Amino acid sequence: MTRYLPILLVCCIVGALVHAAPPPHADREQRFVEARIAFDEGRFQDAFDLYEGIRQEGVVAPQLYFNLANTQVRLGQLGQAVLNYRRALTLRPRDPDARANLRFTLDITRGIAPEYPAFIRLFRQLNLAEWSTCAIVTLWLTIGLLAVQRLRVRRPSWLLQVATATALATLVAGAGCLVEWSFHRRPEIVITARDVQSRFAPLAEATPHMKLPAGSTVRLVERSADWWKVAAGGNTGWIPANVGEPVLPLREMWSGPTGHATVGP
Amino acid sequence: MTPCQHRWIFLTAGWLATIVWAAAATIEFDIQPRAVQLGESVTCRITIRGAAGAPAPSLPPIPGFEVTSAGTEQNISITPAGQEHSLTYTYRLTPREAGEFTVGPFTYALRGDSVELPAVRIQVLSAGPAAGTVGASPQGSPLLFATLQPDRPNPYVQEPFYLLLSLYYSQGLNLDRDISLSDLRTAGIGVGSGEELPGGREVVSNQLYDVRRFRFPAQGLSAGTFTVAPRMRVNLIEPRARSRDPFFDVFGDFPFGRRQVQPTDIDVVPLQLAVRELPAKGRPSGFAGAVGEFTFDVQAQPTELRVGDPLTLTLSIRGRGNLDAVTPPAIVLGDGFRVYEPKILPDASRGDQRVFEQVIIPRNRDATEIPPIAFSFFNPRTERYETLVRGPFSLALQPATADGPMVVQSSPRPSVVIPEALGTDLVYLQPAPRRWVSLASPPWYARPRTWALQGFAPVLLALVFAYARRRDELARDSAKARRLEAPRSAREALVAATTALETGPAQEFFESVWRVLADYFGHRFNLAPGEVTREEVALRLHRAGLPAADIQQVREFFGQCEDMRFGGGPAVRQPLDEPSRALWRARLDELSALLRRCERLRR
Repeated sequence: MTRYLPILLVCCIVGALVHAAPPPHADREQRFVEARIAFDEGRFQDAFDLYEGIRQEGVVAPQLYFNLANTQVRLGQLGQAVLNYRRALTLRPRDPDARANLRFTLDITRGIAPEYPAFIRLFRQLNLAEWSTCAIVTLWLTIGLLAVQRLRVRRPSWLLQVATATALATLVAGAGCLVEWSFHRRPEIVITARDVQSRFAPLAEATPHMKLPAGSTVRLVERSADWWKVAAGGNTGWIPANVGEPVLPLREMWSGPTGHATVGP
Repeated sequence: MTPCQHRWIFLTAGWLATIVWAAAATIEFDIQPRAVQLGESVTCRITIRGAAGAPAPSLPPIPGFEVTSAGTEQNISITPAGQEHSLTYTYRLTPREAGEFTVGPFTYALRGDSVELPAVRIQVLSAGPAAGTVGASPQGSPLLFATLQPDRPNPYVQEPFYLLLSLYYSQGLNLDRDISLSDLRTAGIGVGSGEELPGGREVVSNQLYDVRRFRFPAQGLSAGTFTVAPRMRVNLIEPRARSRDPFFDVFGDFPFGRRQVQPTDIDVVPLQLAVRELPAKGRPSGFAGAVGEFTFDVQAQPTELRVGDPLTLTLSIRGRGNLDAVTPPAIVLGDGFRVYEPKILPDASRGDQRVFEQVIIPRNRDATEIPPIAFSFFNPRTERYETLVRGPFSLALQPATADGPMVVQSSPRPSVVIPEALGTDLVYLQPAPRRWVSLASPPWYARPRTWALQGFAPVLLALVFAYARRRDELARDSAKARRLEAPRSAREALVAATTALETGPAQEFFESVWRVLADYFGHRFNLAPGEVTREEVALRLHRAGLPAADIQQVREFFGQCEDMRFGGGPAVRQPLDEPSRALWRARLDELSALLRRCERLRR
C-alpha cells in the first residue's frame, strides 16, 4: 500500500489543480446569474444587456435564447422575443417551456404561425445535430450488421432483418436531415418590426398585400436586392429585408456574431 | 377596343367550329382557312355527332367557288357512357376570283328538323409572289414580323390580363416549330408561362400571312408605364446553296439534303403598357388588394351550440381576378368571441375559387350574433370598388355544461404592448447551460468532411462482401483454392529447401526439393499426394502448353530427387560439399524460375 502512496499523492495534486483552475466559462456563468438577479429585481434592460453581451461573444445555447426572449417580452419587444423563442426551439425542439412561452407571446401579438404538414412537424421534433447523429449511427450499425452477417459462415437471417430495420432507420434519419437542411436553406423569418404589410412587388410603392403583425413567422421564398419574398398562410408577398430576421440558418451559426444575420444561400 | 382586339375576337370566334345542336345530335360546321390566295382551296367540314346514318348534306351552288366533295369519314368510339358515332363530310371549295365572299348560311335537314348552319366570311386575295421567293412584297410589307398586344388596354394593378404575341410570316417562308422568346418579363409586370393558341391566316395590308399566336397570363405588379420588349428568334428553313465542288456535285447534297436552318431574329415592336393605380377615391377600409369580379359566400356551422364550443366559418370567394392574392376578410368580433387565424383549404381552392375556414368560439352567452362580414374588391370592368356583405349570423347559444371543458382565455390584447409586469404568465427563466455552442466554427454536422467520411461505410461494406464472396467461392471450389495455394506453398518449401541446403544433410535437402515439387504441382493440378509423379506432372504440363524444354527440366528435377531420396546411399546422410551446394543454389534458382513459368500457364 505504501508504494502506491506517491502515485495517489500525485493524482490528488493534479486533480486539485484541475479543479482549482476556473473553468473557461465561469465568468460567463457569473454574468448569466447576474442577469437572472436583474430580471427578478425588475431591471429588465440590465438583464437584456447581460444576456445580449454573452450572445455577442459568439456562443449560444437554448437557455440563453430562452432567457433573452423572456426579457424581451417584459420589455415589450415581442417580435424579437418570438424570434429568440424560435431560435431556442431550433436548438432544442422539444423544450416545453419555450413552446409554452412562444404560444403565450403569439397570443399577445396575434402573429401568424406557420402551418406545416404532420410529417414535417414530426421531423422537426429533432434538431439537425440529433438527426445527423441518428443517421450516422444507424448507417454504421447497418454496415456492421451486414458485414457480420456476410462474414459468418452460417449467415443468420435475424441479422439481416435487424440490418434492414437499421437501414430503414437510416433512411428516416436521412430524411430528417434533409428536412432540417431545407429550413436552413430557406429559413423561417420572424417579423420583428411593427405594422408590417407585405407588398405585391419588391417596390416601395407597390400595392400592400397581407398584414404581418410582429412575431409572425413566414418562410423565405426568394430574394431580390433588399427585399425578401415570403410565404405565409398560402399567400406570398414581398417585405423589406430590415423588418425581420431569419431563425438561425445554419450559415449564421458559424459566421460569427453579427448584428444582423445574413440569409443563406 | 382597338381594331387589333376586334380582329382577335373575330378570329378566335371564327376559328371555333360552329356547333349547332339538333335533337340530341350535334352538328359542327367549319371552313378553314378563312383567308387564301387565288389558286388555293379552302376545306369545308360538316361533322354530325350522335346521329348514326345521317344523310349527306347537299350544299347549294356557292357563287365564286367551285365545290367538290373530298370524302367522308366515320368514327365510332366506345366510352363508358356508351357508343359515340360521328360522321364528317368534307368538301373542297376553290375560289374562282379574288374578293370577299360569304359562304352560307345553309339549311341541313336531320331527323325531321331543319338546322341552319351560319354563314362564314372568306377573303380571297389575288395571287402574290411565287412561293419560295425571298424579299419584300410588292407593297413593301415585311415577310416576317411579330406583334405584342394586351387583351385589354391599360389594366389596373393586380388585374389579370393576357399578353397576346402574334407571329406573322409570309406564305413563301417555311418556319421551324421551335421559337425562342426572351426578355418578355419586365420589372413591374408579372408574366406567367404561355400557351400557343390555334393559328390561322390573316390579311395584313393586302398581304396574306400565316399566323402563330401565343398567349401569356400577366399581371401589373405596380402602377406605371412599362415597356415590354421581348426578343424572338425563329428558324427559317431555306434551300441549301448548291456546292461548286465537282466531287460533291457528283454525289449531290447527300446525306445532308437540300435544306438548311437559318436562325432569324425578329424585332417585336416594344409594347408600352400603362398600368393604372387603383383609385383611392371610394376605397373601402377593408379593401385588401382583391381585383377582379367575385362572388362571396359565408357559411357558419353550427349555429346552435353551447358556450365554449367552436363553430366554423367557411368563406368562399369565387370569380375571375387575382385569386392567388386574395386574403379572407377580417372579422371584427368583440370580447365575446375567441378568434383563431383563418386557414385556406387547399383541396377546395381551385383555379376559380378560394375557400377559407376560420374557427371562432363564443365565450359567453352574450355572443349571440356574428356581425356582418364584408369582402371588398375592385371591379376593373365597372372601375369601382364593390363590397359584398354576408350576415349577420344569429347563434342559438346554450350554457356550457358543468362538466364540459371551460374556455379559459385571457382577453384579447392590443398589438402594441406597454411593458408591464405580466406576473406568472411566462414560464420562468432557465438555468445556465452546462455547455455552450461556439459560433466560431461550423458544428461537426455542418462540415463536409464529416459527411465525406461516411462515404467509407459503403466502400467498407463492398470490401467485406467481396472478401466473403471470394472465401465462399474458394470453399466451394477446392481445385481453385489449391491452385491459388500453389505459389505460396512452393515459396515456403523453397525457403525450407534453401535452409536445408546450407545446414542439413543432403537427404533432408532433397526431401525439401521433393516437397517443393510435390506441394506446388499437387496444388497446381489438384492431385492427391500419391498422384504427384513425374509422368503425371509432365502430362499435365504438356496439356497446359508448357514448352518441351521446361517439361524436360521438370522431369530432371523429379528424377534427381527420386534418385537421391531412394538411391543416394550413405552419402546422403552427410551435408553436401561446397561445389555441390553452389551447384544446387543455382539449381534452386532455376527451379524457382521454372515454377514461375508454370504459374503463368492458363490451365
